[in-house]
Amino acid sequence: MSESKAHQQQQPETVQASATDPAELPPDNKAELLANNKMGQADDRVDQALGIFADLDKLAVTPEAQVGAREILSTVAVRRPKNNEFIRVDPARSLTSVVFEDRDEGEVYFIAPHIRPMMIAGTAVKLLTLTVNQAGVAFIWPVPCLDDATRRNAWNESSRAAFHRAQVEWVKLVGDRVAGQYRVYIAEGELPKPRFPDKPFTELLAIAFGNRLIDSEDHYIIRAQRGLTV
Amino acid sequence: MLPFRRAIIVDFEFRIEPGGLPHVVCAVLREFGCGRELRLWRDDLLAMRQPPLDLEQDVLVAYYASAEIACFLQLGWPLPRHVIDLYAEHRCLTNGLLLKPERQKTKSRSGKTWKANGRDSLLNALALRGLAHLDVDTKDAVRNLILTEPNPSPAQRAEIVNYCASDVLGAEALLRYMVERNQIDWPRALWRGRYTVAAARMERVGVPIDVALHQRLATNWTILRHELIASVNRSFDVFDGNDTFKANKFVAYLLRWNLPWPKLPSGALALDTETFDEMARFHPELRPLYEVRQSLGEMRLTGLAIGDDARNRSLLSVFQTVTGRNAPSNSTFIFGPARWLRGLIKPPSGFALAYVDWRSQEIAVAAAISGDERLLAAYQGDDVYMAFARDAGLVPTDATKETHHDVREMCKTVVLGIGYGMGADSIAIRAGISVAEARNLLSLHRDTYRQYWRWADDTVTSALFTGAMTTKFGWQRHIVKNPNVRSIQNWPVQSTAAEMMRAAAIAATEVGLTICCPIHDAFLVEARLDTLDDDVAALCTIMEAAGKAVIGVPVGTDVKIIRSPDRYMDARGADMWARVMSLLAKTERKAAA
Repeated sequence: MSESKAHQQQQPETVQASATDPAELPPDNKAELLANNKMGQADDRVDQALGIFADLDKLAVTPEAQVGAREILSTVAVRRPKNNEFIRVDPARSLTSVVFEDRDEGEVYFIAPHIRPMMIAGTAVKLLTLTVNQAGVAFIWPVPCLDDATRRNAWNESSRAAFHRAQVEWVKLVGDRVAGQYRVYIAEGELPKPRFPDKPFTELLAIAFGNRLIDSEDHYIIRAQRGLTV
Repeated sequence: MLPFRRAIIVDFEFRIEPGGLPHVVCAVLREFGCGRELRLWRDDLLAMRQPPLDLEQDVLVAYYASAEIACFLQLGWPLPRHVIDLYAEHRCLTNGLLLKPERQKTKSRSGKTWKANGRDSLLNALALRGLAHLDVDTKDAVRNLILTEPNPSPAQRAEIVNYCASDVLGAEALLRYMVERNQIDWPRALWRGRYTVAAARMERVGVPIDVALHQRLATNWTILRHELIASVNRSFDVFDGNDTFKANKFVAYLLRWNLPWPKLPSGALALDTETFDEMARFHPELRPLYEVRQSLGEMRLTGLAIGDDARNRSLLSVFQTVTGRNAPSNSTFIFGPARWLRGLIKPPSGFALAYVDWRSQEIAVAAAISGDERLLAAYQGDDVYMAFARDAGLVPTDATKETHHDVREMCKTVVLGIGYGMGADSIAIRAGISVAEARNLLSLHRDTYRQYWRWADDTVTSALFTGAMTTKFGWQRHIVKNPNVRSIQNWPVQSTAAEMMRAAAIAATEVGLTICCPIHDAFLVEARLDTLDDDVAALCTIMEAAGKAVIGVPVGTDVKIIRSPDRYMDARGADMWARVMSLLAKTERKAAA
């Protein structure tokens, strides 16, 4: 860009003689000034100003005084924790149930008890547990359960381990495909208490599975499994 | 529950010319909770030496209180000790939330939207909380009456006072709403109120302007504008025959000089003011082009708000930004972005101006609030950029600015870039290095100042956890969906710097210094030549003490003095100023001939 700088040199050089460039004044400007003033002598104004600052520490906000913002609970997702969020779970608001996992669509359906015998495939036993992330967003985490029908694997084992830790501390699950399991990280900082929604769990489940409830043999998924629809 | 015996809600109606002082029309004062009300017309107000309230015991409450304080000052009244600005409290409570009031609550017959009425206006603060208030159209009609009718009839007077009283009722409803919900954090709200008083004082002082020169520039602006473009175009060739800036020509210029430029997500060049300004900061040869583009609109020159007394006065728009910094208008405030125009700042005869700024304020704040001892030591050393180069092992320990100038410049770009929340891509463009190099430098910065980065990461995590962030003195920000992580990371530094500025402004104005205006991390102070040294020393001490009080670390200051008959000049606008002055002289010579 040296040629551009040459352009600048071609420009008119006549800066008004009276112009003072504050950025280019000698650095000793302040020192000279301080030397000239009556520093060292009492300046009532400075004392008064310092008095204003004397009590300023009393205004310092404590962390407890901070005000949070809550998301309005209009939807509740059913999903696994993401690898960029810390989570906490509420074991008191958990339900072991059979769900249908549509792996193609990434959707989880709640199966009403009387329908379970009609399900041919794709079902799994999960612990549906109320979970919140660091932003206070609530979701239902279907934690894989250990049962005879489910193959033991490190993904499920590590999920369950994370679920137990998340009851008492903030954890993060990061998938490690090479190791074939989740790596579970614990938040190192002193983090605030989780903000679980105050709605009853049944209400949360109703919001979460509102249109993902298989409660009739006429349900599309049942009909599809039985070859009754295209 | 009020922590005061009485809260007096006040609203003034006034006219004001651009850059001028308020012409007070009327005022209404109402005692909170008991309905006692006082309606005063201009004649009554002018006859009063004192405001009708207990200056020590009562708390004055207003919405955008700096306007009411401006009227107090205009009337020569002493100021109340306790002030609550409901606007500041509304901003603090809703900062970061993207709220929209319920339309029907604004009751606008004309269908004016909440945006047209100002998101943080009293009307919308009320509407957001579901509190009914005056119709928007009625408000506009009365405002118009106040502005256009110097001698209103008795009926018009009644209409104006009733309107003023309705605003007081609105403010009272808002205060009641906040008090009932315990939303007013009184000690900190009073501190913010104290700052609105400081702001009113600074707005009243204003910045002295060389109006004769301003007039000459305005008279010749059409010709000057064309000549300016022609002179800049000789170097850049980015304007067409109609003096219009052409993006495709600018692309050609960038290609010619092999200069990378930030792009928008669409792939088009980012040609907004901020990007241009930033790029000109890193590539000073672009500065004339930036300055010309900034000056193109006639309003840049004639839009400056200059009063009859040759002072530039502009609303500081306190608490308007998400960080709590001021947001004065770019077009009316002399410290708007066209930097060459600042050459119009000139102290009156017998006076001087001093521009006092905190030395690398944001780095000091970052080091102090993150608790990074190494960064703090770098700040407290002689050169923070060389300190990074040395700490990161990029240069030998005995390296200096002179021996390793290029490395220092690169490190400066990185340090400043991190302060602006830039990533590797942006830093690479600005430093003229590869993205890989920029990543490496960022990584070195992370390794060197680990505590700072740990704090920065924790800040983001904590903000996402709690949904809110708060400064030491209670300015808060809500975090909503899809937050900008860099903005969250940078917020504590910027908002704490704003707290420092407020603390210093309160102290400096309360002790009687003549502060013309705050400018980001600086103050412009005016003083008689015989008191200059004392006044500047006092301001320096106050600013350094404000740093200590807010972040626990004394923050040094730099001073630049402009004595009459000199004028202020920003280094980044000096070329443009010289160019304009030369063209003005030529144009006037031609006209005279």
